[in-house]
Amino acid sequence: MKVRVRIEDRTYVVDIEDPQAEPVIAIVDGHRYELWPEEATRLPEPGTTSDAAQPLTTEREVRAPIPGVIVSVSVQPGASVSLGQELCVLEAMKMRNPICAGRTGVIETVHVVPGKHVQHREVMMEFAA
Amino acid sequence: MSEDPRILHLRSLRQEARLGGGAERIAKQHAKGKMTPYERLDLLLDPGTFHELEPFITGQGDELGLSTQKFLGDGVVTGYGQIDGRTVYVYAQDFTVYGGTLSETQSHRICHVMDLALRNGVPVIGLLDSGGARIQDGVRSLGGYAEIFRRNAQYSGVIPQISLMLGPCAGGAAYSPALTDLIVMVNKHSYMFLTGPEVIKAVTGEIVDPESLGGTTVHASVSGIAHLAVASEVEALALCRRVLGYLPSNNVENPPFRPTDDDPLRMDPELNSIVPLDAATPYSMHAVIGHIVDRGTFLEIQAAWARNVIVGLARLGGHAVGIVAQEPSVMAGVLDIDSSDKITRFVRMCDCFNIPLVTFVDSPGFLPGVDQEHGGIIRHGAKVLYAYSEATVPKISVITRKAYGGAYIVMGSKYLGTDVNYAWPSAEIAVLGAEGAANILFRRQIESAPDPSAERIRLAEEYRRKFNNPYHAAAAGFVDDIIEPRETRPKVIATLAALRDKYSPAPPRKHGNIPV
Repeated sequence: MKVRVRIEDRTYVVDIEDPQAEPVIAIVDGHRYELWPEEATRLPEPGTTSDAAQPLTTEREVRAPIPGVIVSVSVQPGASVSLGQELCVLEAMKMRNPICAGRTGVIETVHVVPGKHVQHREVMMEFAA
Repeated sequence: MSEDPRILHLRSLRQEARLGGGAERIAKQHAKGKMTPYERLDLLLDPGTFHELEPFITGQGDELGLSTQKFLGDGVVTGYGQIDGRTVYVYAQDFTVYGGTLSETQSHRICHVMDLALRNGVPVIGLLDSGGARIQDGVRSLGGYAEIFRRNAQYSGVIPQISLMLGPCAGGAAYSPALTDLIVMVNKHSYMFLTGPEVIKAVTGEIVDPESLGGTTVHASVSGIAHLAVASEVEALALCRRVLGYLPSNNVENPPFRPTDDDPLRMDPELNSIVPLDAATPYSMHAVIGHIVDRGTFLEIQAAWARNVIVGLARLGGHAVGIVAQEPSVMAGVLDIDSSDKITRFVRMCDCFNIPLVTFVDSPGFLPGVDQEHGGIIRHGAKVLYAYSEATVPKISVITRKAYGGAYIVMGSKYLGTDVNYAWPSAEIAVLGAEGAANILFRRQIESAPDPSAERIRLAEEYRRKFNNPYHAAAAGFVDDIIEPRETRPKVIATLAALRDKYSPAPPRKHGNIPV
């Protein structure tokens, strides 16, 4: 897709291959740029106990932090979720691990169902951009 | 009568030295929300305690004559002062002079305070804000870095060394902090990388901005290089003062005692209901720690990295302790490569500086997986064994729930040298989980049963009843006592007191060969 970006007086045509890709590949005047979306990671306050149930990276994809089996899925595509809300429960290493939203947003796709085995870092859900 | 012109000259030189790269560059630094070295030292040290050394030194290393100007102090401010009445040596790089780059002279100045810190057995604190080696000084600046690195390594474990990253720190400027005990980074102000975005672009073609290459967020949550991350310079300086309160001035002193109004005999009834009856339901180990240590004293280190384990400094009955624990609500509290590295580094720091270790164990074991095995989990996990075995400080462990297999052994088990082992009634100490154990031990019996799955469940339940409690381990002498969770604080404080004069000399050797 092509976007026009105006910076001060100049207009640039930016050709973006896939805005969801990581990195995003953007072509401007024949030059190819790789862009990594900025991660809005929250830093825990030093000296206070951080809220352990909160994941810290807030990328678009919700990835399995550990290999295991999905026990339950709490949201459906299109659901608006807020920071810290439970998205699904992943049973791994003798524990039902709640997977919580690391950001506020709308869930676009859900790739898991109860009983599904997921690998380490496998994408379980995706937020709308 | 007019003043002696020689004294007037001294005064004007002193004033010039304080201005570093000049008023204009100072204004630029301020515009970026950054402070000058003197302003930073004023906030770091007790008021009026800073004394500068070698303020009149100027750059000597530029043989090519490329430097356009000489500046008094050559881009760094060094000296000594006090933090809470205790002496520290400091150096603070000045970004307004050649971008804080390291010259040969600057290195000499830094090494001078490092040497004085060592001879006097007091901490050295570096405030870094530097573009790396000063190109005009050529190989002399590289030699200067080597002089600093060698001291960082040789003084490691003798005096605390703390690095505050207060600006871009590229190349050599990133290596010295990596050799020190603790690195504090400031969000959106500090950057650390060996090769910056420009070099990466030229060599690999990757385009990356400094923040996503080596910003505070990256080093606090992805690489684990930043031990502490804060939002502003002022907080970084205040945090450095706080951290020093947990550390002794050198390796033969004990950490300072700070009286507490939190009763050492305080029982915490809430702890008795913190571990869910269902072993597969997580709970917060952070909350457990919060209930046990002196109120408000827990200072978590590397809080956003390898969050399946927790390490941090705290106080119990006013005495500094190092806390190591697993967090069952993050990845079930498994041990993996990063968490092993996190524990090892922390345990060794505590051992260097006579800080007793209190370990809370709740781990299902090591993370299975090809990427972990191929990433060398064996040698990383071995570091934890090495560090705990080597540590001679008082060591106490409390098993709160799961202590399975390798995770039980490495997390300060009795025969690894832990002095006193406690377990809560919720503790499960076994080689592996009940289902897995039943499958292996009773495979034939299960297979030949009329209803194999019912038999498997029955046998797993039997195994669970037999082994998933602390009594079996206690009967075998692996646990010193089984305690109610609410008793943990008074118990651990009493145990620390009983271990205070522990003497456990290591056999003489040059040094061990820790797997890395």
